[in-house]
Amino acid sequence: MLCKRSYLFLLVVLAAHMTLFGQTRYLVKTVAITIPTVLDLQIVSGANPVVDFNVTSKIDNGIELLGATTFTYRSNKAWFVTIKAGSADFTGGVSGSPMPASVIRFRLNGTVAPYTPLSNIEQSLLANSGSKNARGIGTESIDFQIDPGYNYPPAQNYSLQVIYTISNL
Amino acid sequence: MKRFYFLFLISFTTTIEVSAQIEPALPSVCLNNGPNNKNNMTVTGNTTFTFANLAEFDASQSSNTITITVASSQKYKLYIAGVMTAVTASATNTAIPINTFTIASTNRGTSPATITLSNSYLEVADFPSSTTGLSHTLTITRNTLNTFSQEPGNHTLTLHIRYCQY
Repeated sequence: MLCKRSYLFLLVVLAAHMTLFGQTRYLVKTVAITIPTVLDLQIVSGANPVVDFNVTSKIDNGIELLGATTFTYRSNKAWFVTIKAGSADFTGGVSGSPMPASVIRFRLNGTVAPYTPLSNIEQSLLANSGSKNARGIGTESIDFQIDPGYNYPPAQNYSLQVIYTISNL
Repeated sequence: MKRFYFLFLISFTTTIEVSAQIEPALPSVCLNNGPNNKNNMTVTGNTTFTFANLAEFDASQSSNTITITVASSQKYKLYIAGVMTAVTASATNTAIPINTFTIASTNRGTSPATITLSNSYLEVADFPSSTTGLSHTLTITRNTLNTFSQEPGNHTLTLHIRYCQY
């Protein structure tokens, strides 16, 4: 009987496991930095401008205040700034003869744009909700033109609040 | 006669682990001598940076809670590199510049007192007479971040730490 012998070759299979970096001579460490949302507006000068019509020519021509109010902004999201009067009319003066906020007109300093009458409805001062400015930091100033003419009674206590609002919404 | 058939299923398996953050190029001299208990390092501790108020953007912050412990039978150097990851990949976002961070190490030997982090390895400690190794506590300083160019949220600094005998 022919006997065949089978030779069994035992092949040892080694699974090679390679890692690209040594576990103890090279390590990775992560550091988390959490940045909160920043939205800030600060008036740095001209928070309370005073306007005095002490000569007739000023009543004739109005008074222009260039760079009357300066503010800084800081925002790490796209932003815009609005302006509005705190009320429809000035406080003070003579009862029954109110002087409207529109006596004050405003524009951004450094532009040649026409002045816009102020009102108690928010208006765009820098960009708007539909087209915001890019995040960052900077300084802006406002020009005012005040021209009551001879339309309102004389008084030394006319006062109007001006509200600036920065938003990222 | 009986016949036996054996089917050998032969496979070689190679698993390659690839870090999401690729290690920077190694220093020119980076030896690897000795048994593992005399040729290794461990890193302990964690740190985070937050801003409690607006003023902290105009100031630096430091943290010294990460320690590298080296066991080495011969002279060695420690190197560190960093990679910043922005929160989102949006076109309007800007990653925190890597050079916003500086690092100092205890037991630095002849290495610079402070390094400004970069994405290439920089030497933070040199121990030319080691026979056992030392602990190196890192002081990581975040400098001012007051351009507000980065999107709010979580940003990640990945530190690559390399120990080289030489």
